Amino acid sequence: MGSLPETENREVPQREVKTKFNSGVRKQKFNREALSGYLFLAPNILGFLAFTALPVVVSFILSFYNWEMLIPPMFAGLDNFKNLFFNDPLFLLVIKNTLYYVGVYVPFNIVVAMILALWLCTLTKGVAIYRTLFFLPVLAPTVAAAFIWKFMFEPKVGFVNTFLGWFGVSGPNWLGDPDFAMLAIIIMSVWKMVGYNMVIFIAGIQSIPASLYEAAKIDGANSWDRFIHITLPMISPALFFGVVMTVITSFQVFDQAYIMTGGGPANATNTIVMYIYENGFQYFKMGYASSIAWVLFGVIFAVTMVQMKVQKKWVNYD
Amino acid sequence: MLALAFSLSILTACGSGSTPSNTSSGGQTSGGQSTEKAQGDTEEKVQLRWMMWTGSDEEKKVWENLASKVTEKYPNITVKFETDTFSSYWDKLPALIASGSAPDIVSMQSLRMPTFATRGALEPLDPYIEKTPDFKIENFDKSILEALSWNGKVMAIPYDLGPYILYYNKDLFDKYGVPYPDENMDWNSFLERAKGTTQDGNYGFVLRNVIDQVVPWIWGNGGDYMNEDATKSLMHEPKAAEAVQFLSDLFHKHKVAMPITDPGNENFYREAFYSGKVAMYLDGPWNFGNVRAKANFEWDIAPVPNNGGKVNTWIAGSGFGIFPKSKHKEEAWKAISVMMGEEGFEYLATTGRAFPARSTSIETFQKADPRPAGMDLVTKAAEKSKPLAVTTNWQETQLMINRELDKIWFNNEPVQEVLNNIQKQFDPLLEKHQQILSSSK
Repeated sequence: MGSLPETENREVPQREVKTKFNSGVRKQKFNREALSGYLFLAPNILGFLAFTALPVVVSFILSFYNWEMLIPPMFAGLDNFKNLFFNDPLFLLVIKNTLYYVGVYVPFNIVVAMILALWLCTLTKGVAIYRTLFFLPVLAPTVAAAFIWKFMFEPKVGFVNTFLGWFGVSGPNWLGDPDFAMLAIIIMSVWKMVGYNMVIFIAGIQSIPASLYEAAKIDGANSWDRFIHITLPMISPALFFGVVMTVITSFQVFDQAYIMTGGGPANATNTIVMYIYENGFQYFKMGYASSIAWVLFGVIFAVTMVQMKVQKKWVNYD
Repeated sequence: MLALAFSLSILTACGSGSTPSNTSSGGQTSGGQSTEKAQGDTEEKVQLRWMMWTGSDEEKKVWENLASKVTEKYPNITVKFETDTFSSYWDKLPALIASGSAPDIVSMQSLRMPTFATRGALEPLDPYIEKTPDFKIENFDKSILEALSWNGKVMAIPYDLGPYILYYNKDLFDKYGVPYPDENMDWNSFLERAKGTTQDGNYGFVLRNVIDQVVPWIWGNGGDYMNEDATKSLMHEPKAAEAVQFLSDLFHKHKVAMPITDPGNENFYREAFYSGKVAMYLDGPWNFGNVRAKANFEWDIAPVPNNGGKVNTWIAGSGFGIFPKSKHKEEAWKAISVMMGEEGFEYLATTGRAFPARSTSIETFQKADPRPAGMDLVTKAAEKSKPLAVTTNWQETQLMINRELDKIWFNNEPVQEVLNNIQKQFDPLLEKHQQILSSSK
């Protein structure tokens, strides 16, 4: 919807150069076109302003206030941020938990997605079926998926421990053991989201010209060499996109933990976004919640910036 | 376009909340929800808004029927019933109050009342009660009125009475030949019974990992979790620590408490009991309806085991109050006095929904469904109860305590260490509570 006025605008200057003498007429036409363009944009823009831009601005202002909703806001300066880092051990814990989640989930997700993509690309039959099957969980609602996994993680009769039992391993109380709860959520999240990266990687692999592989084969490169020296560099833009998006979304992990463990046991699965939710909607500390949200924004922004800088070294756009 | 319509409706909604309808010009009605002066009528027609949480359509119907009784008595008043789930209700209410658009009649739970009362979100009802002698406030259970009072003023009229009690599965006790829990059960005999029923994969007890479930044991041992002025935490002191240790032992030493395998499910303990695999658990009388419907076995209730405490259980309940910024406070009180009047209570009692806070309706309640047989224990338990004292930042406090205690239930960490850790965080929270109190005066 948004692309229509943009292309119109791009064309106008070119025409203006050619027919400079009657630019008055052109300008009038441009204005009318621009107006209808903006009118088409209006619903989106208004929605964006009202439900995205305005809340973002308000939350930024609120992060410098103490506001408990039922009492008028009081200016607090940088107190919220100071308290976060120096007086709130729980905040440091939720950061640690979130980093643990990101640090395990992202590589796990990328590696599994890559393996699946490579495997599917070697198949001659049934690619579409497998691709659909692996992508289906992405479309499933998180709430429903989380409930199913709760049953699967049930220690006595659940599927996961029954499966482990076949190999003589007695599985843990997954969701009830602080050492395993986050791991359980990571496993569920990988299952849920791996199809998304897989589809992107498949598209990348399929766009690699077959001639490259043939040439390498003639030169005697084995399949590992071909993966390292052809596939990986050729799909590095797709890989980069996958990593960046997965990192961003995994910093925002909430739904799975909220439903599967409620942040427990003993805060083992309490994450940054869950802590925002608790402060804002359970303790009514809107200002404090806003300041956490902006710290989270800062973290994601910084990590993404670093990734953008580092990409020059390994992402290949040729 | 949709977005535009949305933002417009938000603007108008805010507008109607902030300007009194009487002063708005040109005969505009504000938001369509308040005064409409019917021409020729002597009495002003008033539509009140009442918000209350519900969990099912049947519940909703009960409250709507109750609301219609108001119009029967006062034809000029209609009560518009709005509802949401329990947790959404508490998410929504602060926002509605902050924007001045809260309903005229607010539903309030005793455990959350201080949070709202100190922030000026509830009208003290004493003047209204005094004006209405035939309301007969003296028929209400004293302990539950106290639980819904703040600084000696009644903030909401309670509809139910809920001392925490012990539910037990009679079939399991019969099966293993263990005597039923009785009124004089102390901790030792409780433990014996729990051990006796922990057989064949069944467990003697299930605990929900929240402070509410721990408090009756602390009180029953003569301890407390904070002092009366709410200035000092006491959970680390010996009496309280003993109680927590006793519960910890149920899990880890005697292994009679069912391991919690689904910490994200707040009904885990109830579902465990309904499944017939657990002999005993703590809950309020508000859960009679669910147990009646879901338990496929004989069950009954008993008081919470006592280890020499003066009180051994807490009492909670919910009721209805008035939003101080309502334009129709008089009418809102009239509505409450009908709904919570003797007739209103008789109707509620026949539905069997909640143990009546008005003593005159207990008999009707028992007739509606005689289960559990030991129903008269509810009022007895209430005598040995007090309100679960909460602070103005209780949500935050209880979540902190719950998650610290988790370390004991889930990870078998040393009780005293965890309790000391709780004290370190509890005291600053109490300090903050005192600040909120002094700033609200």
